Amino acid sequence: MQNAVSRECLAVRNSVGVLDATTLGKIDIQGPDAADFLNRVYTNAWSKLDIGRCRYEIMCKEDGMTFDDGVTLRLGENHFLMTTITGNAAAVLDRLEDHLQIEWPDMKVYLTSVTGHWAIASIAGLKARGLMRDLAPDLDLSVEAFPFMSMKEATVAGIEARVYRISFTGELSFEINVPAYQGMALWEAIFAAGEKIRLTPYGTETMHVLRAEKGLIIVGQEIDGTVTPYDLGLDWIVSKKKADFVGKLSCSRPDTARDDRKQLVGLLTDDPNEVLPEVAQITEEADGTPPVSILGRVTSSYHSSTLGRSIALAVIKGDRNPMDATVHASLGDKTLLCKVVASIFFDAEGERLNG
Amino acid sequence: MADAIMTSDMRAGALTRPFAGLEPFVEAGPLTLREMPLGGQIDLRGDPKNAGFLEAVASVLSCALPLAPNTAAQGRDVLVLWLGPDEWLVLSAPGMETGLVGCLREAFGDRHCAVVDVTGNRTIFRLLGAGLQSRSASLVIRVRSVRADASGAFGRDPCPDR
Repeated sequence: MQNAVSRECLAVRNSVGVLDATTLGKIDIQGPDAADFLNRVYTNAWSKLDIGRCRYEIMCKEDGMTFDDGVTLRLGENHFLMTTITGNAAAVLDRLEDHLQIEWPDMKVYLTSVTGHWAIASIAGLKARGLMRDLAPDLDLSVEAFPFMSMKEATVAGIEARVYRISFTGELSFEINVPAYQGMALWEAIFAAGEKIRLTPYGTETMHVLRAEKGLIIVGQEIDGTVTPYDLGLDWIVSKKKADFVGKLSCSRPDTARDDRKQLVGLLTDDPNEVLPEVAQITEEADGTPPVSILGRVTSSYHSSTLGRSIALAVIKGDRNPMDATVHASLGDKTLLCKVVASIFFDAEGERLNG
Repeated sequence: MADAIMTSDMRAGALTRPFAGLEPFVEAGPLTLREMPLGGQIDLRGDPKNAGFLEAVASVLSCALPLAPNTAAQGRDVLVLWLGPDEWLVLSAPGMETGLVGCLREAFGDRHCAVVDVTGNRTIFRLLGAGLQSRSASLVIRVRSVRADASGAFGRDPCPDR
């Protein structure tokens, strides 16, 4: 398994890979109050997003805890397409319908699940643009014409498609959306075009590693119901101008506003071959008289083929642990030394996003 | 179900495309289960108390929206299914859905409604056989996983290193 993940990671970083992202939750949002609705359920602002542009978003619950994240696209003045993480597709739709039917019944918004309707092939890597050129010769793929975080309608392999330029791996990436009944035809065409450059299919294990190398959070790892957007270092995504949104008030409670909450950091083990177990407990001392003070826990942990060593993301109490501090991972039978580092391990400047 | 859905093979069902040779139907005793060619499906949202909305729909689909729970209405080359108090599913022949979406949106104008192509959301099976109309009939459909490699090349390791 590890060999397969390593092979796929290196293929994406050094050449090009393709992921089947079809399972992502997708919700069609229409109505004169659509932008206002998004302003209420997301932490950031949506009124001024241009048509054809998309934006990363965080959704919190009423208790201020981060619940889901994704990218939402503006299709028209009163028309948006929201994505959710696969496992939250039904839960998000349920929660949003709850809000509309019970709390805001006067809002003119309709939600329709299109999770099954769209198949998505996500092409990522240094050679992504060349492959896309073969598949969609009429589409201008230059950075000027096709900026990051935008969508173009195009004919891809003869199929009418929506192509997003977004990235979860940190590589130049094009996500091709077609109706699901044309998904297989698209997949076959991508591999026919990609054969000469040894296109590599990659899976979600690889996707998890690549996004962690870029410090990107994911539901089920960093987002586990106990962290606010501030805990995750996402202060920039919380609007300071909006009067209210779901979770806003809860982020100013004494417990959520205190300055010694666990914060997202990176961890590098002293021994680069040691891969911390996920949810390993992080302590200040190597061992000590019980009760031992827990600083935090590991949220993601992988061997990184890109870096040739292990990496980990963790949430630990920020006030006493500046960058480069030494902490310990307490594993029961042994303790591992770790260094606190920034939560991004590769291409911190984001140069690869434009290819 | 409209004959157009049964006889057209413009788009093979979702199951048959990836797995060549897989028959799109199963016979088990007196029952036959067949996957239908994938017709168009449109999700429609609107206020059933709004006469203008009802008229606009009727003008395009040539039928009145079914307003009673769990009812259906036959329109011109479409079947309309009640899904909820303000939600309907319009089933059409394969390929017709794009034009229908356009016609419905034009008929609605600025009215607050939603018209969404959801053709990929579902596939449709037709179940035929004696005994299905009996009130006491119950049916268990268990979905088996499909082995990706029938030749057994994967052996014991589910993720072989290629």
